[in-house]
Amino acid sequence: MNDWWSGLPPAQAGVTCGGHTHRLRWDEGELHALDHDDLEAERALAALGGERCTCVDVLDAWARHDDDPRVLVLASRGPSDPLAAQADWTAQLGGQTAAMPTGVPRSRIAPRALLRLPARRRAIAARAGPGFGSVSNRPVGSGGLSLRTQAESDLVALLGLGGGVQDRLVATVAAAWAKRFEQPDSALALARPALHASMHGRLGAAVRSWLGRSDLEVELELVSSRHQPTLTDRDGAVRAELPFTWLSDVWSRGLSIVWGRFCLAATTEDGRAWKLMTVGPDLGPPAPMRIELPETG
Amino acid sequence: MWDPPLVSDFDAELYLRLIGEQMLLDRGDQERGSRRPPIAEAAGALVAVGVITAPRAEAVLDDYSLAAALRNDPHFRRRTMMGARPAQSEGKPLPPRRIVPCERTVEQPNATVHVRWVSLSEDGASVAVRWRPDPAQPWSSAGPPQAMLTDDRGTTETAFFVGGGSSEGMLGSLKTMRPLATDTAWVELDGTRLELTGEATPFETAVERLPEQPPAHRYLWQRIAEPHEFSRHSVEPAIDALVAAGVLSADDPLLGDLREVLEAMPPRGPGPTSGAARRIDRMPEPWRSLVGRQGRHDGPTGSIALGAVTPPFDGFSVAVVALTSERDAFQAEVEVAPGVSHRMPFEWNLQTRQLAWWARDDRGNHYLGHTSNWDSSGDFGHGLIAFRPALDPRATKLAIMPTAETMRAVVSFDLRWTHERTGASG
Repeated sequence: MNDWWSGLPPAQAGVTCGGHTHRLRWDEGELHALDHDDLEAERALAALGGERCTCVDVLDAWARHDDDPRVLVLASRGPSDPLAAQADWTAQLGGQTAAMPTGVPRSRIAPRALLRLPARRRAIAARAGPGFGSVSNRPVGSGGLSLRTQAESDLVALLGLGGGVQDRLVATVAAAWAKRFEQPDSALALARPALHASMHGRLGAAVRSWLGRSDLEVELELVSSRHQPTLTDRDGAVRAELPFTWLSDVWSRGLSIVWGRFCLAATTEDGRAWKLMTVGPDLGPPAPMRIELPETG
Repeated sequence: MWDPPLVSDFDAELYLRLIGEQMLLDRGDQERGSRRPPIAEAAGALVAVGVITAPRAEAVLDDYSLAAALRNDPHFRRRTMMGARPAQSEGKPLPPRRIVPCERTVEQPNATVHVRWVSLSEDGASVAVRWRPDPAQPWSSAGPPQAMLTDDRGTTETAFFVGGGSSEGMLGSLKTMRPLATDTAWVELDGTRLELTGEATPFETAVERLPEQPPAHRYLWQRIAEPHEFSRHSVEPAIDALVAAGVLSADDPLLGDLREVLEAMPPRGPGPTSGAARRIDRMPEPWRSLVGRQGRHDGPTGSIALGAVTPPFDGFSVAVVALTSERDAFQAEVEVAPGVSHRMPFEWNLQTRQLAWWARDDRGNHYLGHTSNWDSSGDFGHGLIAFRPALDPRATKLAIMPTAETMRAVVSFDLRWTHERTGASG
């Protein structure tokens, strides 16, 4: 089984941090701050009232939202749906981030270890309580900001990053929930309408653009990943039966339309050679395709 | 172009989110001018009939409001600058008040103040005035009108003007923040004594339960009677949502009646008809009589001081302070607790609770009001309700009927008009 990020190239964004342009780089499923050696020291400095470190703020915001369904609701549905992202969306992040989670030893942690974000995310989520940690209205700290306000600030900042990093966040969230669809739980039940609708929007944008019909009605039925995916005509509307994994396996990788054909599923053994199941514009029977990525590094 | 989404085994949250997705895809649909977003209309209807909770619907609206703002930078900046609307609170019932008609004209150094009535309650005192600045002096240099009010116990309070108008004159009230004695024999306005010997028009108040009807019917009729807007385009997403949820049949005769009424109503509330086809006789009351008298300009002129405070109904309390009638409309000066705020057409959030303002005369005519010069905080709202069509000149009795979801208050009184006197006195 391949890592969920197979086939997703690195992405990099620049942010203004301490008066300089710093680099945030996403690679192999993780976000790294390339211009800081000691992130823990930066956090300690900010906690003591020193200058905030935008890179740390972004990493922390990423950790809080790397499985937040709102990312899928807010982010672009594809090339036909650009956000009006501005650099100052990220700049507003400082000052509204949550306090550091307790129970994490602050010293003697290698900076690299601090970048292992899932542990921090779990710690923060545990403090926030059940459900999506980011959509509660519970007040945070003495600042009086609600988590919803903070979540909104986080999300706006993350989606304004640029350089394709925001798309990797979408891929990260899609992959997290694709896994959970295989083992449904109460959190999935709560998030399902948002997940379903946000995939419907992306599917609709892709299909309308593919067939060149902006008024085309598109229906989506979410099916199990064991179900054969289909794309068919139904009384003039396009009806798709797709698993949620389509979002991470196909859409996030930019494989929705390949050589004029709609991609229903994409699999790989080695991360380079991909087998695609595709449908032509006549919505006829699916047919396989193979593509191969060039060697990198 | 907006079409209702298809959701089998109705899931209200998914239904709303699919509307949101469609709005994002149809970017032009986000520029809706004076119309509410269809997702907000649908959410309001689904919450009203109980197929989704208000917090859940608010969360969906919040998501798509932000999503739309992120696609339009000026909208995004406006959104981040706007504070949250004050929440509608429970509110405390309005206190009774003593209203005394008082037709006096007081000359001040830079204005002529025509006093219409004085209102006294434990919340404060107010003097209803028509304020005309001296044409020889620039009115703006004098600032907003204000005055000192004194009662017969020697208590003096500053009163500030609340109302509206133009450089030629303003109509409103001088209100104090603290009360004067409610049984005072007189009030002095900047030293000019106003004897409080007049009697307000007698009135009766009652509360009535509205006839039982399906929640979807009740919601839609109440929705189109709201005092802020009339728009067929606004209500259609609500109809679609109710049909999709299975609480309203697509061939329900109500929909024909509703659309008939909407077609006959101009966008800014009942007023002159536009010539569209209307089969008035087939319309249900109270709409039939309302539409039937549209465009009349034969209303009586004058004012009536009332001071009626209703018993609580559906959690609301309303004071009808006074009524003023002109040729083409009549206005009631009212107070409401808790506050009912203007519903902004472009707003994405669920609306706060609203009152529909109906009136009925002894000739069988009905009238519908919309808010004018309205001001509201979370627990209190006040302003003018402008009713149309013009009051039937043959009517001798009127009932003002603020109407909530399941109950309405009825304030009934005889139409004995006071006419404003001209010329200075006192």
